[in-house]
Amino acid sequence: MTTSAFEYLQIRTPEAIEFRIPLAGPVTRMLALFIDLCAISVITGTLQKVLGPFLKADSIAGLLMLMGFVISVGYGMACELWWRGQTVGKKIMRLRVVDMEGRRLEPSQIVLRNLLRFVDQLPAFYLVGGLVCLASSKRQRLGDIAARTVVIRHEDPFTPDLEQVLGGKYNSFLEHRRLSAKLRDRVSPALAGVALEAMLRREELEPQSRVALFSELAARFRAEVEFPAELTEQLSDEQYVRNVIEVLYRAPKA
Amino acid sequence: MTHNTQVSFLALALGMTFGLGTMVLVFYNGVILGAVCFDYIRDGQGIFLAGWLLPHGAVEIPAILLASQAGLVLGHALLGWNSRVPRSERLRSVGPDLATLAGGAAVFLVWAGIVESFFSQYHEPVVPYAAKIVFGVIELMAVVYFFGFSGAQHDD
Repeated sequence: MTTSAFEYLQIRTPEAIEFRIPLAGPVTRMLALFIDLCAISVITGTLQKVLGPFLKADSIAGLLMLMGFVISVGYGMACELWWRGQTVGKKIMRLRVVDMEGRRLEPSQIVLRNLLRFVDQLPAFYLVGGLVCLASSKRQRLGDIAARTVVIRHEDPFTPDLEQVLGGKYNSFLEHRRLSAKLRDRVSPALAGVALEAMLRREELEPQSRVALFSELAARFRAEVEFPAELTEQLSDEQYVRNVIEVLYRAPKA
Repeated sequence: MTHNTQVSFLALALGMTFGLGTMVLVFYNGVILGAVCFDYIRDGQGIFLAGWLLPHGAVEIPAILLASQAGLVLGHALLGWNSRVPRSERLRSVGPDLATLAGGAAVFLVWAGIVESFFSQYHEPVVPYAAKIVFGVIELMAVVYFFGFSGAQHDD
């Protein structure tokens, strides 16, 4: 058992590209399961109401029980097959079932992991499955281990709204292609994110802190790449950072 | 019937206990069934028993056996005796087989359920015992033929 907040799935493709995807813990999966159970009970309830008047009392009881049983198992299979690894509950909680190595999810994997719910839900309320999920290094329950799948959570990619920051002013930095490319190469995503945050929240900062913050950011960026002096000497620190952000976040025109 | 369905898929799922749970479950169910049959036969109700259980049992028992076979396959893949392949690779190779076995068991169970609901429960004088026993025997022969002679032919 680890103590980190999230576990990450590390995939390294043969082309040496690495993915780091956050895994879903047992609590999130339990919440998704509750939602799924509600959906299943809705489906079985409607079926009972709809088909009830049509069939005789005797055979209907057995048939309804069988249908309820089939639906509770088949719901997971059908949803995950149709929606590429998501059920209704998982969609709401933004989770997804994926192959452990990042390959395409095979139908046999989905069938297998849903069939193994029978042992995961022993003795009650997925106790076995939950404990195995907690203890497993990849947050897998028994069904996931057998089917070689994991459940990941989607991280929302933060797409910055640039227009309110940049305001459409002319940016002389973009003219210098080589220096711009060098800047994009050198600056880490974390630093770019910090600069963008600062830009977005500049109105909320105290004046002195604002000046200090932007001078520090400008100094950091100047340390990475030196733009020609005739461009930068007339720019304030804030305008300098604004230009840098535009260079970093605007896709270069081909 | 739902109980037998649950038992069969539980037998599959218990393959994760390295097959031990599957064996225990199958043994237990066999003992129960055997005890019930013994009771009826000792009481002289053998023909009634055959007419009652054969039509759906001839298909349902093989279904349970299929599912427990899947459980044992899973347990074997987990154990990995005499294998140099890592566990995840063993599980990957056995996955489609498990799905096929489970699907086959499900089809058998559906058929057995239909027969049980609409045929097995009508005893004498509605449906004569002979008819039900003959039906059950035909089913049994079909099952044996399916397992024995269908599928890919191996030219050894």
